[in-house]
Amino acid sequence: MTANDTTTVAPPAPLPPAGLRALSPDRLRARFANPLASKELLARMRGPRAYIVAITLLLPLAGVAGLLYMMISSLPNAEFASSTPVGKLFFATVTTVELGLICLLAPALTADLISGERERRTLDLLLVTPLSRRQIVVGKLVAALGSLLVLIVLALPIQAVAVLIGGVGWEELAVSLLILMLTATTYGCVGLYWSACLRTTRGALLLSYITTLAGVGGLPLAFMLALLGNGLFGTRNMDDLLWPLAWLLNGPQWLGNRYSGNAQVLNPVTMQLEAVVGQLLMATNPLLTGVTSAAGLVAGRPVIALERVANVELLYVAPWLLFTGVHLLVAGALIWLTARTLRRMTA
Amino acid sequence: MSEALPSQPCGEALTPQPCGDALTSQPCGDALTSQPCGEALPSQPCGEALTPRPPLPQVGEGERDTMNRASTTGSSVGARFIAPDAPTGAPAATPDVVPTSLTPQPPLPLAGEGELGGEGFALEARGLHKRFGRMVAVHDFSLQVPRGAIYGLIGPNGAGKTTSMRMLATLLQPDGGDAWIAGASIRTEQTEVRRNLGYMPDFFGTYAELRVSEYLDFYAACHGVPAARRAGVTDDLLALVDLTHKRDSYVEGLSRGMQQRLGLARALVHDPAVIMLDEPASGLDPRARLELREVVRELGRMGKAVLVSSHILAELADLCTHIAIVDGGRVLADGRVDEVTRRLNGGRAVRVQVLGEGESLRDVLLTRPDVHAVQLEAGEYSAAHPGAADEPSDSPSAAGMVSTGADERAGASAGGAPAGSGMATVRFVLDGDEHALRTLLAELVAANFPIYGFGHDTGGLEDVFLQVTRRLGDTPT
Repeated sequence: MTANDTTTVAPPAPLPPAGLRALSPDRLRARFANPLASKELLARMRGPRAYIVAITLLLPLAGVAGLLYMMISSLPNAEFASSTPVGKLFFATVTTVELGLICLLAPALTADLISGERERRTLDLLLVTPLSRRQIVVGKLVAALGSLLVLIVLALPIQAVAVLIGGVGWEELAVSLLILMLTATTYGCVGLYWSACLRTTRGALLLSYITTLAGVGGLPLAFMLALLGNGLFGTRNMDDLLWPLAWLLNGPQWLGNRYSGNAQVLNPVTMQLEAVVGQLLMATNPLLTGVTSAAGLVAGRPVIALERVANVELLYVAPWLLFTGVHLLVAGALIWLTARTLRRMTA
Repeated sequence: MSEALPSQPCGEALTPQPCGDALTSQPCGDALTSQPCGEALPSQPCGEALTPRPPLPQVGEGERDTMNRASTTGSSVGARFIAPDAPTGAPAATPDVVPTSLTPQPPLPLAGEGELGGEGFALEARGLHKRFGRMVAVHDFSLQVPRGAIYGLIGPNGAGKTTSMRMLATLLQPDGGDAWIAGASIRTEQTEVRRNLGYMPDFFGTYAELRVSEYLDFYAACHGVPAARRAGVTDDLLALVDLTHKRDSYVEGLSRGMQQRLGLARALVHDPAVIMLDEPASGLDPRARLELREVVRELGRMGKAVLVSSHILAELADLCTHIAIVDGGRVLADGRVDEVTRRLNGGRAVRVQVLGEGESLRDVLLTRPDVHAVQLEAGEYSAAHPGAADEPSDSPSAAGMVSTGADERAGASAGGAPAGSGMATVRFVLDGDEHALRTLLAELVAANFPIYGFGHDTGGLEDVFLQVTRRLGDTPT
């Protein structure tokens, strides 16, 4: 291979061995380049949609943050204003608002990916190209979610004000970024899946929002109702059932103290099972994962550990890690399902 | 030559003379030679034989010479597909609008060549079957499209044309049967099929946010055309479909006809060996139709196999080399146009154009045992009988020819041969093949009939179509 290979118009150089050829830039580009993603990005950036999305996310977020900051800075006690709980409160509020906006945007960005092609009568034209169904799905998804993911990064400075106020570390910021991005991806995939299943974009959008609402709000709502029921009717059972949440929030000591007196109350096997199910359940929800992850980070708990709770060794996995696993899995499954739906469409 | 007046039976006002019209049209092959039009090498394309023909009166005298190249349509419209930089006075035999991105003789990787009987059809379907619920949409659909053929798929709405095409385009899995496109099975080698097939659906949308050149570039990329070649491909195709001036316009702003042409260009981005056009002319005005037709012809000249469907016979009549009549989800008749006509008429539909009144020619023909259904249409082009030009041989008279199959003079009564100098057209059905046709022509010329046109009669298609579909109605499927 000569150095100025690319500039010559000379006859082509002898082919490198097959192994190297597979790694040549052209091959790699052909393998990973997705024409659909480039085209979609171009088309998306052209319309007003890109601005609408950016404004929908950044404007309310900046508004909430600004309002909170003004409230905080107007507090009479300056020392209190720069204290830990205020920073945490700011961070929690801003992040929750951002999560809500993402849940609003992600399905809206993806619910028309396939059904929109169908409605525009361009789907057949895509399906007769040699692109694989997965390439079509991934290409469209990357373009639709790419802009949202970039926006989430752009919103980071707004969240980072909490670090300036104090009480929030960079780890929390990183974890929140991870959770927000994964939420956007997963619920984007939900929209994508419904858009492949349903004939119309409107139907796909409706089902996507229902799914998102159930996924993000369902579990916290159920917990709230459970706690409320417990408070009203005083059923101890409920309390026992919710112990994994308390464990994740407060650490093993607290729970150990509680159950140290009557260890027989909880069967070790049941406890193990409940711990696993409880953690996994929590990992399906961005809100609960955010809260429990923050608690874990504050308490300095390791990412993975064995914790002794009421004489039982339980495996603790940092909620954000489980959340990442669960959401990547779900997103992957949804992409696969969407590609399969596209394949079946032509059967 | 004043021939371009609406004398054609096909309904299109500006349609060109069909292949094999004139005695000089040797290579056209429809009637005089056994060489099929579509299978001929692109260097002797159908319709080229009539060149050089001077521009028609309505074409401005100052128009460029290349206009002559479009003389197959006999109108100025067709010339719009000639690349502006086309060499003037180029030999008619070499199509000068062949874009470099389209290979004139596509390399067909005919994997299943042995399986396909060694003849290497560009497209072959065997017993395709598709049902939707209890409704059988396509039943035993079989077809063989040779390379270079322009294959017309004709049938009424709901005949199963679109379903068949969607199956061939790998958009619909057949319930039974199989088909091969450039040797690749639509069941098992779908990616290979998609590489070799350019498909234009009957209805399709566009991406409004893209510019015309970006649109083609995008589909070229989807088809794996290397980035370095895409710009060239886009330019060539835009020139082919005459959209170069719209290169930077948004697709949204194009007219229906332009979008249709863009759609056709899209189907060609990967230089496919087989092209399928589903009702390409639907919703187009006559001018756009002519333009589209000219492009399709051009593709045939390049040796591409083109499968084009329509429910309007006139659209395909003088465009196609082959034809398949489809109804009730099955192919009722298929083959070369003249073969189909002959098979169904029990002979070969022939049209002879003669100077003079033509009655003596008719009388001679009537005495021959191998000639049936003789009709005389007189004075088509005669200035003395301008009204007669309004009497093309449309279906009523022609249908009579088919249904009686005897020496009926139904058509003759309408025109009435003009006395003195004029022109007449005699239509008849001849038993026998090309040799019989040749012999007959030799005899007629030897007998000093002032024949100026002798050829295959495409007007018969209309009757064939009616006849075949009627027959289907009689027999329970």
